[in-house]
Amino acid sequence: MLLATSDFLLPNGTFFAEIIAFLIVLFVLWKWVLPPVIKAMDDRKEFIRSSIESASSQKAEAEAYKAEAQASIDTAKAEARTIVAKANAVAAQLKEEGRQRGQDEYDRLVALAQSDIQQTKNKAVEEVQKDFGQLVITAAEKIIGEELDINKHERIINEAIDTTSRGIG
Amino acid sequence: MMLATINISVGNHVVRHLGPLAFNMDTILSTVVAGAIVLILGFAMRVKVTSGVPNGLQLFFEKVVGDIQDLVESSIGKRTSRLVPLAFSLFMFILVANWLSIIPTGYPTPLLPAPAEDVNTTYALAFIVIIIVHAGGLRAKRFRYIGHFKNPLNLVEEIVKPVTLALRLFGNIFTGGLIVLLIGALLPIYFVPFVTVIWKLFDMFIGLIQAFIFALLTIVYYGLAVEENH
Repeated sequence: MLLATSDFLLPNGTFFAEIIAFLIVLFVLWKWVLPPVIKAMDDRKEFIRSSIESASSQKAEAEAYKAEAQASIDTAKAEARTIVAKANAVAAQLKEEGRQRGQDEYDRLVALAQSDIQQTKNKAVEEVQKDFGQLVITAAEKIIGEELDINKHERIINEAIDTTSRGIG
Repeated sequence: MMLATINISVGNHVVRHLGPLAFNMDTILSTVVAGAIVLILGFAMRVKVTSGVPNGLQLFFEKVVGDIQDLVESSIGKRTSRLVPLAFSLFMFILVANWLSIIPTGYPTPLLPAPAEDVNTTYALAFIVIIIVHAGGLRAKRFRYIGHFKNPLNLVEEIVKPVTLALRLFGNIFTGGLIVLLIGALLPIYFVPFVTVIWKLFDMFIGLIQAFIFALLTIVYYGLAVEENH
């Protein structure tokens, strides 16, 4: 059996007390509790927004620096390649020059030696020819018993010299 | 029959008279305790409030405030309305008040009954809400708002709104208390604590839902009152 007071769905003076109680709660929450919560939320939102903003701007900056660094590296690489190529060219040139100079020196020395040899040979041949001519004349004089006139017998003498020269040369 | 011997009385209060008015002292005490808990939580949160990493209490406040701001925004289009403190206070107060009855403070008459087990509390809250709703409507639409009541159906609707708002909360919470009484009266004594715990957990859920519905309907009614072309 449920026993209820007859007026239990009707308000009494408690109604006013409840209104006052809730208005106090409402007022205090409104004035002192909600503002710091809402401010903290807004501040955090603003902080996150500005953080994202600065992060994206820093990212862009970093990318710019990266691109700059890459460009520097590329330039340096190209420069290095140029320098190496230049150095290679210079080295090749020096090598070629050195080789050429060596060749020239060699050729010169060879030519010098050859001309020396030739000169000495010529001189020797000349001397031998001169001596030999005289020797042939002397020998012929001895053999034929008369003096040979160099002018009169020029043809015979020369023939003899030539024959012997061929033998020597 | 066993049942015939059970006496359950409802709607009984510790009444004090002050002049012509009667005051239900148990309801008032519960209301004061619930209000004090809300304010103490609020100030405990305020002391350590930070825009950095919030603690659990601040997180709870921020969650409730944020959700109410979203509801208010979807209803009237701006987050910074005066409706936010009202809906927030209603939700927090009703939630703490409803959960107050989870604490066993005496049987069959608890020292601290849920304040909403007394119609005075829910009428008072609905009265404040409906005053603010109509004030908002009047401020937004001036005399056009009064024209709205010329239609008797609208008039009936506007009378029904606060009454249902109050009685829905009262009915749900009152029933919660009543079922605790019934569990105690009808079940064998060794079942009572076990079933009561289960019921009170479910009652906490009801208390949360009712607090949310009360705040939500406040926002909806306010939205309808200030809305144009209605």
